[in-house]
Amino acid sequence: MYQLPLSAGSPVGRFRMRALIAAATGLALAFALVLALTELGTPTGETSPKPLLTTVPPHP
Amino acid sequence: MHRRAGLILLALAVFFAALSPLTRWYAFPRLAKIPADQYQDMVLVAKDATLLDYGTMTERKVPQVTIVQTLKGNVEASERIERTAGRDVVVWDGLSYVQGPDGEMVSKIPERYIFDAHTQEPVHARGEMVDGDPVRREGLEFKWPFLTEPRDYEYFDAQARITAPIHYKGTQDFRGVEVYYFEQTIPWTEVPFPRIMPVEGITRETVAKTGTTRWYTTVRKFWVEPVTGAPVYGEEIHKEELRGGTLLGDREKVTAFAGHVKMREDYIDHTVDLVTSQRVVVLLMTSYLPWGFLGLGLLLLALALYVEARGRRARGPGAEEPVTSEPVTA
Repeated sequence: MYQLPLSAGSPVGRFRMRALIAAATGLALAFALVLALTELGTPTGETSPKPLLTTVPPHP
Repeated sequence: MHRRAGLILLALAVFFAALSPLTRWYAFPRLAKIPADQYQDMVLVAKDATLLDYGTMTERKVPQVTIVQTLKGNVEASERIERTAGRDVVVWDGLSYVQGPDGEMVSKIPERYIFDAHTQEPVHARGEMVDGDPVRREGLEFKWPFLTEPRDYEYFDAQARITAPIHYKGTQDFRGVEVYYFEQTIPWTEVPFPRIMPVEGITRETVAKTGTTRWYTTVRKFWVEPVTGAPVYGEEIHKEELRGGTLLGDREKVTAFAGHVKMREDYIDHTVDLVTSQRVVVLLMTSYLPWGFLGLGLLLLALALYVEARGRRARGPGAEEPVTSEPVTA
């Protein structure tokens, strides 16, 4: 059986647990931000009222 | 205090390090897309071209033929198709309007091109057409996908209504922009007459009765900026002939159009400027932000370790010595 070298009750164990929680929080926030941004997407806008051209425009 | 700062720095380090691949491989493919409401026009010219005079049915040399190409995103149609397609769709209603040297209309060909907003793959739905004829496109048209690769692609030819390979012929510098050069040759192919003919009273159907057919060949050249997939320049060596039938009398064939079509100079400048600015936006998501986030993550991690090390020194030697305890079996 795998043995954890230190118990969570020791100072080092507590520190590692806190470090793990900090890292997990950072990871979760990154996922949440990216998921929220992609869910929001970009606005679709409206069809341009400009016509399909049958004259030569003088400039772009 | 040091310990808390170290943990906050660690959380931020992981946050930015995780954002790096998430931006490049999760957000970018979902956020980078062609806007559904895009409107753009393009003017191409063929100097010293050959054009058919439909009044006398003879070919003549003309100083210039102008092609005005408009693409207009139809938002309502794209939203309607998206409901059944289940993905982001763009519908472009286009018009290729060809004008002779005196300003007269030579041809006018509308088309509807429906494609995936992210990948530029064609989407098949009702209304997809060229000059009123339903078509089923395969391959690309007008634009290449984001992050274009240096390889051959399939490209749809609207005149012949066929898809054929467009070959990658190398990387070049076009006015300071690195571009991929693509070339496609469509051999002589019989193509339909346009629905709207330059002479009143003549229609596709009346021409068909004479037995005269329309043939076309072209060499299509595109210089494509690979990050955006947008062509910055295009040319076509385009020839059209009418062959056989009673319309030509005793002649076997007559040239309907022959010319080297190139983008008008002011449109080249405009396109290069536009593509250069859009390139930065795409690079932001594929390169600048991912590498920046990764660098920031590593920097913050180093800072977190430094703060923690300083904290341990301040707490004195042996402050963090492991306390012996019974191993826990898992």
